[in-house]
Amino acid sequence: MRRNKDREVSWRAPRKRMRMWTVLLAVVAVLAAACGDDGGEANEPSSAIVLGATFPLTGPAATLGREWDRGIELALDVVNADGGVMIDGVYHPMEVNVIDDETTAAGAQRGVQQHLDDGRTFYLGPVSSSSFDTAYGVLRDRDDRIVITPATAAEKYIGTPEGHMLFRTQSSSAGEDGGYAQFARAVVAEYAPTRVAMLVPQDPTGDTQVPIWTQGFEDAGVEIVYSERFAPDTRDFAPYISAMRGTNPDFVVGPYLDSMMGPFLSQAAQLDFTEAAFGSAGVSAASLAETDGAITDFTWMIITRAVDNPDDRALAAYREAYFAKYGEDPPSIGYFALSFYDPIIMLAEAIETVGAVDDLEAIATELTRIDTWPSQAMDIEFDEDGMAHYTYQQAFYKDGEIVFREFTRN
Amino acid sequence: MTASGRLRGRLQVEIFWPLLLAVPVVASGTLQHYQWAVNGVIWGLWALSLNIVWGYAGQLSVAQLALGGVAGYTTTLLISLHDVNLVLAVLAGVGTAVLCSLLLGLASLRLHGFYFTILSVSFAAVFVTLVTNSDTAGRTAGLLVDRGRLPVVDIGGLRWDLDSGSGGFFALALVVFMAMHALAVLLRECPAGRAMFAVRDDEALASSLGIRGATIKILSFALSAVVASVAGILQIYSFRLIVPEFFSFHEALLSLLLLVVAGLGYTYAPAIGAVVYVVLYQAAPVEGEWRVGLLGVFVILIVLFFPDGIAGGIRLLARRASSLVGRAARWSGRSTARSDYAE
Amino acid sequence: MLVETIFAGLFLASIYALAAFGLAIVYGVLHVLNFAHGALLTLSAYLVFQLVTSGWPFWGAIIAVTVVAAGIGVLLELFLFRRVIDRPLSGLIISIGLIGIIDSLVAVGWGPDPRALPRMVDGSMTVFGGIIAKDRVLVVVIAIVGLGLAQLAITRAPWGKLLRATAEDREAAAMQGIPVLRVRTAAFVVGAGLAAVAGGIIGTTLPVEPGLGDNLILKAFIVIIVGGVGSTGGTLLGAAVVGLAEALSISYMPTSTAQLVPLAVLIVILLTRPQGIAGTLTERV
Repeated sequence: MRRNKDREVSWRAPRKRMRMWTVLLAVVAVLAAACGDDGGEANEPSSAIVLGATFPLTGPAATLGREWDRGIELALDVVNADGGVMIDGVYHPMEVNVIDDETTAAGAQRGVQQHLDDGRTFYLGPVSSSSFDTAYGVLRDRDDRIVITPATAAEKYIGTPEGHMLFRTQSSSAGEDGGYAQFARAVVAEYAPTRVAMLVPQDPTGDTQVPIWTQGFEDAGVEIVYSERFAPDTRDFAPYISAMRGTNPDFVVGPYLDSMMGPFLSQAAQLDFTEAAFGSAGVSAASLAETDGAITDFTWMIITRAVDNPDDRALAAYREAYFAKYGEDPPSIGYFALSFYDPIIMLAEAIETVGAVDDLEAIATELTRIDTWPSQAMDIEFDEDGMAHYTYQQAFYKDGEIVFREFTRN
Repeated sequence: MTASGRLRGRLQVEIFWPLLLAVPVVASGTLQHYQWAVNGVIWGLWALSLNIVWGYAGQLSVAQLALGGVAGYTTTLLISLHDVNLVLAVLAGVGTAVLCSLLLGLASLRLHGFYFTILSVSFAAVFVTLVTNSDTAGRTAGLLVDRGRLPVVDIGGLRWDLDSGSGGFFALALVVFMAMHALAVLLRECPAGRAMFAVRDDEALASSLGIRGATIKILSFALSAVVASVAGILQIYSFRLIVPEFFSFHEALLSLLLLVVAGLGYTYAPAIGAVVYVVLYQAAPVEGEWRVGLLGVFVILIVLFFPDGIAGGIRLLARRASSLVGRAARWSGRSTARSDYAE
Repeated sequence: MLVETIFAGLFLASIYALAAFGLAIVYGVLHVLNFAHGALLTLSAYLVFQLVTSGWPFWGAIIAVTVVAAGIGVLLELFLFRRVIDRPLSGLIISIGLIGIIDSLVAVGWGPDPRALPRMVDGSMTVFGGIIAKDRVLVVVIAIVGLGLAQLAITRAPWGKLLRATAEDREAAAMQGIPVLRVRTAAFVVGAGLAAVAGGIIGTTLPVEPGLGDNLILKAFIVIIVGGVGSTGGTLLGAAVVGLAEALSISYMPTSTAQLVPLAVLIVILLTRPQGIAGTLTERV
């Protein structure tokens, strides 16, 4: 217990005032420092050209991440086969620094910021839709970077000032002549359905797909007898199969990921709901794994080009390289790997043609002109806005046999 | 020491120390570190919101993030659909969240403890479900947030670009955090705050002392909603995006974890929670898959050995240190205090 | 279609009951809401998958994993939960921390790809005009028989009574000479074991993936509250109510509304009869 409060207060008063000022000063100092100039960016002098890649290695989309990773590695093998990118008589090997974005927006943002801090000028990804917007926000207003990504979310920036030096490596999926519209047409052409059922997850991709498919089927005179969305974490499809069965569809459009389509088909097979043909965009033959052959007609849209087609000569070199490096044939879902494969080789060629690694405007322009490159897998062209154009493929599975067909160019 | 003296001392200490933590961030100046620090501040704010309603008033509400989400969506939609001024939109967002918090507050009058918590879980789940199914709210894709709208502030010759990832936005986050922190400290020391603690510890006793439990609880919800709104709005501006995922049950559990580990009820716990988040969840050089595991191990260790969290542990150590000092002083003849128990 | 919907409801009720029963026992006796129950369920499903893929027979794998899970349960209770016996909040936090650890182990051990456990029995059957999957019928039968027996044991068997006595009032039970600490451990062991069995069985009907337990655990909480905390019979009732409500709403309502139904049931119960359908008002709500 203090005994003399008054004395104590007056003794402490000057000290208190000093502390207040110290704090205020500290506040101002920190804020001023924080509001200062841009943090310095590390610039390591090195002969290698390092690409900054951001995509999921962990999290729900990690399966696709593994394919993207492999596509990038194979592309780098091609680029570095003779030493790398030749500039002024010197070979510069091309490397990639991959940062895992854990399939989250926060992770993607962190990844891109790390790449910026490391002084990268070439960016691969991010790829998932919500991740892209957040991360691109960091890069959007800068002109010291080229961004190359298949992300759906990138499409809305293409052709606007904010899409400067942004390249979308996937041909348009939304839009009138986009991939999804082509899918609907291909289904109609192949199966001539009269009654279509759609079961699509409640997520951004599903949001894009449903209106396009609804329009596409209706335009073709096909009746949509069932159209439902399910929570993305649903794996029990029995109630939906029950409801769908009652509407008697002859074609069923299912969810666009193997992790959902697989259980859906498996349960459909088990419940003897196998009369209809099934299909979706973005899945693969892996979805049929648990059906024991009970599903006879299945189709999937390939957003790049099939890598498991032994008859495709354009992919022969790719398949060989894949087998040599990983000891197995590319899996059915492996077509995702092509999202980065050709673009990276194209980038290397563009840098070489321009002859400098820091003239980004020239490199970007060259990317829109380039039309052939070593070990080419797909026939891609970038238009002047940075949008890729090539033909999608569609795979048709029937009784154990798979046939691949091209869409018309879009 | 007088009450206002103690308050002032507290404010100084609790604002000074978080600032000290900001120094290494500013010194390094990398985008990555600024982002980590911003994320830390955001989680510190979530913890702060929870601290007011749970640490102070004893109501474990899992709906704080949902309240922040309400504010976030309101603000975003007002700006994107009706081109409302930023400040007004933020105020409207906060207001809406406070209104929703009143619902929670009323529910807390009817249900107690565990049952109220479950109700708050349902409240949060309903919010996420409604937003996920709403086209206006962008469903699972969410809505983009235009960070370019943040102004550039000119103070004298100093330019403060609030949008800037290399410090400007972090400075904004820091100012906001200090303001909310000061609010929490003020609350702690003022009669309303002490009433909250009384209600938390023994509601029957509190009401016999004339404290109106109902009013106090609702007040605590409203104040926590203000902090939650700020946290939510800051978060969506940090990510330039608002998605339902930001406010999910999973994330709410994380804020709960951080607060308890930091020290439930202590005013400086949220700042500690922010540091823990940055160190363990962002800076730790572990693979993505191990991150949750690392956090889990850390949390379990703290809870086993420091039941009152890190803040409690600090207080324990501080007490031991000061009693040691007191003893040493007595032995060396410097102090005339007759016992260790002089306050 | 109604037949199929009702059966879907029974199936959902069965998996919810399987997931929630162990959780209810642990909460009843230890008063700790073991959030890690779901993670344990997921881990068990993966372990069963691993054994079955290595050639083990299905039921042998289930037994082995149950034993392992029970062992984990003993360790968790002795070294973690026992130390915070008087601090339920700390117990809660520990259980949340455990989720993180188990989730990391599963992610590192098996990666993100979903795995498939072979079905217990293939094919479908027609009942009253509805087509239902045979293995799901088996799951429902196992749930009804197994949990029914468990419920009987808890209400009739002597050790069941020990469990309930300790659950109701630990100090009174101690005064009666009941080895309370041992009962606690037993409760945890039973809970973990049930989580393992649930994981193994559910894993044959749904894909084994990292989120398996998490999704179920949320529903498990709803089931326990609706049925009545502290009453295992209530849990079974709650599972039936929630499962049927969910199945009916998915079939007859658009998804957006259907998703709200289990939540609505929970909110209604909380506001009108918080102790649950079968609960008695022993705790102040």
